[in-house]
Amino acid sequence: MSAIDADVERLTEPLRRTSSKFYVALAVTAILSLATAVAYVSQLRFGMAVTGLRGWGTQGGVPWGLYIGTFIWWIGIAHGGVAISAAVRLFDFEEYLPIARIAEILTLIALPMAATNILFDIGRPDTLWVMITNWPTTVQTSPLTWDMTATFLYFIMAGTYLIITLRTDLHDCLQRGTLPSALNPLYKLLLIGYRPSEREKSAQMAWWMAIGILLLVPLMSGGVVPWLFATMGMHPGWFGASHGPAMFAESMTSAIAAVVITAAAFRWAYGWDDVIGDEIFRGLNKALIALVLVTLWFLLQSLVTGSYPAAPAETGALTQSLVAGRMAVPFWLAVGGLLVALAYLVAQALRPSLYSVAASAVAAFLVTSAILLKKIVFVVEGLLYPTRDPLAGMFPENSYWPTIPEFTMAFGTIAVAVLIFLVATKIIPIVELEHASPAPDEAAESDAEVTEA
Amino acid sequence: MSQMGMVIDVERCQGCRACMVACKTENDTPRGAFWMNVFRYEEGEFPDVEQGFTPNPCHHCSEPSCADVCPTNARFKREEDGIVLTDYSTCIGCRYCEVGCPYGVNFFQWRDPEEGQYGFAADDELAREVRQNLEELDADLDGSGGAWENPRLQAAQEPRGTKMGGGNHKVGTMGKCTFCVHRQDSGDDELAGTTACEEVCPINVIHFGDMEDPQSKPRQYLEEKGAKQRWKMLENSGNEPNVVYLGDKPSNAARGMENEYKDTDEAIEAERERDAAYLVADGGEVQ
Repeated sequence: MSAIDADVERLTEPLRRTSSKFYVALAVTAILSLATAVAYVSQLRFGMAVTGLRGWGTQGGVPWGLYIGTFIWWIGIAHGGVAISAAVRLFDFEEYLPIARIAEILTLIALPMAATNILFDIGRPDTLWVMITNWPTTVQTSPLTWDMTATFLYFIMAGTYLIITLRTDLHDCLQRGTLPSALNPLYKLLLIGYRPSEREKSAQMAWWMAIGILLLVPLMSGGVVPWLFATMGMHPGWFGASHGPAMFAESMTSAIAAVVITAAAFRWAYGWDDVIGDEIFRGLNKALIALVLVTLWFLLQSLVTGSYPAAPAETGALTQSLVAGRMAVPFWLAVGGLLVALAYLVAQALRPSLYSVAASAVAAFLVTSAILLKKIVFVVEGLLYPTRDPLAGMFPENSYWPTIPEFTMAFGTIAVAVLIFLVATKIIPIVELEHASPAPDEAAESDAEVTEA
Repeated sequence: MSQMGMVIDVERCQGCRACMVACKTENDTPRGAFWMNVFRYEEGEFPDVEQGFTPNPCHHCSEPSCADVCPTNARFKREEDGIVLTDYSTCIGCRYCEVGCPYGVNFFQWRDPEEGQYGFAADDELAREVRQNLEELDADLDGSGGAWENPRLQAAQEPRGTKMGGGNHKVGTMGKCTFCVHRQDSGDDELAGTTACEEVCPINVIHFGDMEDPQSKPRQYLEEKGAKQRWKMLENSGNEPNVVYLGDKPSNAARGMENEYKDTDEAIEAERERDAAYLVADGGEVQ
């Protein structure tokens, strides 16, 4: 009895057949990716002046905005993916096996997209290598260096993890000839030194790697990334010890939502209703209910403490601007998105007749968009009130509205990610084949062998 | 060891902002960048309103939070005199120093410095015309080259031997007050130990020098005015700033009198739209 109720032939279908749906998606994402590249070239040519960012203080702007908000969001997404996969391996959540590799690939794409948003944000990408040469000293105090270090480490571990679990599948597929022959050199490279006997060893390695990854997740999404902000004592919107756990909850929430959307897309595109079954979506929906509640609970904490009359002056002003001031519209949109999604998720849990994959995907889309908005609001709110009185009152008020190039580039990374995902489905098997049932003819053969014996 | 700093006597300050202008001319900073900035603020309600002025340069902190957060060590504290500098050659332009500083004194180079200054980029045809014209003008005078530029701003600074002075640094890097480091390192006795803002102040508000040396200008001034209220900006921030103010401290209710500074982008745009004849006129007619 195998964990995935489908045969290898069907699961490797994306590698052999390409539908017109695929070409449309490829064209659309390629055009959007090109637009992103064009916008970046114009930013390189004309300077960061093309963005809506400006200095805080006399320039009355904010120095970080859409790019940094989108960066945190991508980092969060990156953590859900491989965390699901690692949890599946460590805790034997067999029913989630069909989405394990989808989740891993999501991680491996999300991390570079996060890095790309940082690249968009810095003024001199040509000098970036200095971060590496100065690493030994800067790592002692610079949160950005911690962040770079953790991201690299995480990327390498997630990548190794994927390759370890992929080798057996690739070997089997090559034997069967289900892989596109044009890419043989790549497969040869991935399979260097492969011996069928390595199976057991690599399963052990994957197990240890999964532990390492699960330990790194809270350190990153709930650690170095929030510390970029939470260590800045002069920013009332950012400073605080609870930002780590709060941001971790938000990250896991949007990450699970992203996995739901991706899994639903695969199910729809390849008619895999039986492969990625309803119980997977129902389970993820349940997890989302808990995570959205935790996210809202953290939000409530900061609203209550910030609204109380005895709150420090700037914290009060900040909370006021979130609740009823200049940041109220994006803030309540984000909260509203979470609440609407939560209402559906709870309803479908109580009344199973309300459940559908499409509606779950829409709810997940609402959740992850709301978290993206929340992240952007978080970055900007900290910079609207970046210092204390008497300085805070003497500077003009800060404001920020992103420009079209900024929107194009920050959100364009989503199109780039989808594009890479589409290409990936044509290169490697997107479902772990090790746990699938053998192809019908092979099954017949093995039966025959048994009979002969 | 010495630690350069300033004593600023706000009781004397009249808010004329000559220091801001002097800083801009000395350091060639682009529009919208005020390495020296004088707050004009008011407190109280009508009819009991008081007005005050507070110059706010970089405080060249003893524990600079901007240098701590820098991911490339481009922002650092120079050991010999405690001046906090930016190494333009290794700055990646992440703006973390600006985010990590509570004083609001960092200014990013959002566009090409010449474009930010004059409204057109260095390789612009108009710019070439202006430059050529100025060079001719300069040759007519003494031929020292660059009548419009302060050659000292191009000099390299120790300890790294790279350019760290002046506000005409490359696009995408961060700048801020350097305590006129090009003057300190000039080897010229008349310039070393002074800053442009200090020099231009008509009523001696700013006193620049070594805060560790009891014989220095600022320390002597402090001694002389010992009875005045003495304070530092955001003293509790842990940054240990090296700018000491004398006189009334603005209360937490102080509010700036400018709602906003003149819009930089509009100013640059206006310059860009000017008639070329105005810009290339050889020192003569102004339209």
